[in-house]
Amino acid sequence: MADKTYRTCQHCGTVDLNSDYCSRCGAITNVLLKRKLEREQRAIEKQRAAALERPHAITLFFENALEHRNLVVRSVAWFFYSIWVIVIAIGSFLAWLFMYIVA
Amino acid sequence: METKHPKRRLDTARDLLAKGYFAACCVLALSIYLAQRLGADLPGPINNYVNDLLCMPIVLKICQYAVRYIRSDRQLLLPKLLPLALTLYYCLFFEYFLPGYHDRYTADTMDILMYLLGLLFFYLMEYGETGKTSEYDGKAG
Repeated sequence: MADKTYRTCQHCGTVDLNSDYCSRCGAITNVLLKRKLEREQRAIEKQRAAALERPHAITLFFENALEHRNLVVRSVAWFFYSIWVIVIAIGSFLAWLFMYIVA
Repeated sequence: METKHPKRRLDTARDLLAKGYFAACCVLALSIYLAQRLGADLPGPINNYVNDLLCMPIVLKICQYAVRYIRSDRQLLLPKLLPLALTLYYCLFFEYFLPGYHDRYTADTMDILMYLLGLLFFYLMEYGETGKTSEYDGKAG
């Protein structure tokens, strides 16, 4: 008894038993599934929009420097564009700041 | 009326926490700091340990924001070893190096535990229970 789920199609009014899609017009009748698919679609669109966004000037500067013909410029850019260097530098600055705030 | 599945309700709560924990940590840390400066009588554990607990999530989130900005990548996650390295750096700096130079600072094992708990909280919020990985794991970055 508990396994029987009747769903009415919002488009054509057909009632189906234990089905997520309308047997007549093919529309989604399961509201939870519909919301889940909409959420997934929104997430995909958001990712697509983020990928299409143009990188800003700092990123472009480093990416150009990483392909520079001079090895020294490339090495310096690689060093300063490294996630580890950025994080340790900002972390050190914050540690220094906390040290002066607390003392 | 539609009732939410307990797991889904938990997921929503975790999403909200993941989005808002940085602001909440900053507000809480600032409130405690201001209360201390104004001479308020705070309970011992709050006075001594809560800001140490909040320190690593705040610092690591600021670093993550900065890296995301510099690299123009909103989805970027820090390599998993990096938060641990920064936490060890803070432990050494505040609990070993500074107490040797400054009377204001004292070495305390509980502080180290608080830093590590803060790190664990950051891992849970950023990488989640499913164990998200950074594309920079195992790379020089």
